[in-house]
Amino acid sequence: MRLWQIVQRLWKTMLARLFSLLGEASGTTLAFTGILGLAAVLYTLYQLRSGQGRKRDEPSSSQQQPPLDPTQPSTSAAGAAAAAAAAAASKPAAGPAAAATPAAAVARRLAGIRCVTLSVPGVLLEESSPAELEESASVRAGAADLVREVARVARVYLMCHVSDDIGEAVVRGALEHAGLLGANPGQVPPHRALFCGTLDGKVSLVRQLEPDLHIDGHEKTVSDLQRFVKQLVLVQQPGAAGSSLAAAGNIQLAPSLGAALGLA
Amino acid sequence: MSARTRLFKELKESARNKEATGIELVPDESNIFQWRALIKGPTDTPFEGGTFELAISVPEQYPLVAPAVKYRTKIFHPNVHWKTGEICLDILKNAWSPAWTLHSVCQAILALMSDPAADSPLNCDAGNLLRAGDIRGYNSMARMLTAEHAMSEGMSQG
Repeated sequence: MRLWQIVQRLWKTMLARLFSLLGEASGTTLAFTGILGLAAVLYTLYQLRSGQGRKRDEPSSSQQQPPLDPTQPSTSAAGAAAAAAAAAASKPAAGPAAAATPAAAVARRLAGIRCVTLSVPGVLLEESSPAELEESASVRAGAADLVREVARVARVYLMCHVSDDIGEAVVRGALEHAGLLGANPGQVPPHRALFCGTLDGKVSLVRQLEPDLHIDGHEKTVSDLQRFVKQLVLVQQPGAAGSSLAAAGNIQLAPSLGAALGLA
Repeated sequence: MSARTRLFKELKESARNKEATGIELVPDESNIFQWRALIKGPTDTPFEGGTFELAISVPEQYPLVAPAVKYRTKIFHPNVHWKTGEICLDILKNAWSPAWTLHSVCQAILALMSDPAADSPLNCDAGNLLRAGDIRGYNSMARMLTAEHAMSEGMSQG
């Protein structure tokens, strides 16, 4: 990270030099619009470079992460980086929820909350059962950005009920691939991704961690935890069959992670 | 033999055993009745890689009465209280015998780490995971908390 800051500073000084040169040589001859155009081109270049720089930086700083896919959307790479200003600049491209600024909404929703536990099936992942997770694990694009925002403001533990080592490897791989695991701000330290082999085991994991907020896609876990956790969110797609749990007291129902975190 | 004489004898012996067992026993500089032990998480357990500190308080009647031992490092184990570090181990309670030494007590605690007793747990969540046969969940949580509390690299990750 420090190396990156030096590169960034060098680049800035270079830019300043270039502009002053232009000003001396042809300040009057160059049309004002021309300078603006040049500035725009340079700015774009700068943005592109910063995106790449972070991507290169990411795997080295986190343990046992496989090489990141170059097709990975640049927003997620930016989200994992420390430069808050750059992250803010790239936010408007993050998704349909841009109007509400996810960072601000998440910060507002999590005011006073220091520890969050999140069961990933059906919330962060498309798949919701251990059997499905044997085959594949797909991280929901919008949800990954939100988890990064949550990880910036609170201590986050991710957990997943899987049936065996294959399921665990599939899920861990998907989380790593999405750039969610690592030591940077906006990432979850890899050892805080927890796995269990039974549904009841998940309840024990949450109880041990004593979070201020637990988010889950499974109705039974939420109802089992009702007496032990201050705030619970049950994330279920609208129209999910057999949902008998009602929003009450410390339980909130939400159709998506975004809705659970106060985004429209 | 007075407690003091016996403790000095144990101190000499534990220095000799340190290499073989990895157990480091250190008495308080000014008080031979207060000890600190450092034990290494046994291999093939979720505690592997961690170093755990025990606080040992020896009574005046030692070795007729058992020492009071508790974890000072946080550990996720069914027979250790998560918040206080209290250990549920028969030899520290009714099964104590003067034949035990501080060093062998540490060995018994290491054996407990490898072989947790899930019934009558002090940590219900650890006990429930084991009783439900959820070894994956137990190992996952114990490994994570070992990294957080018993390894210096883990602690720096806040």
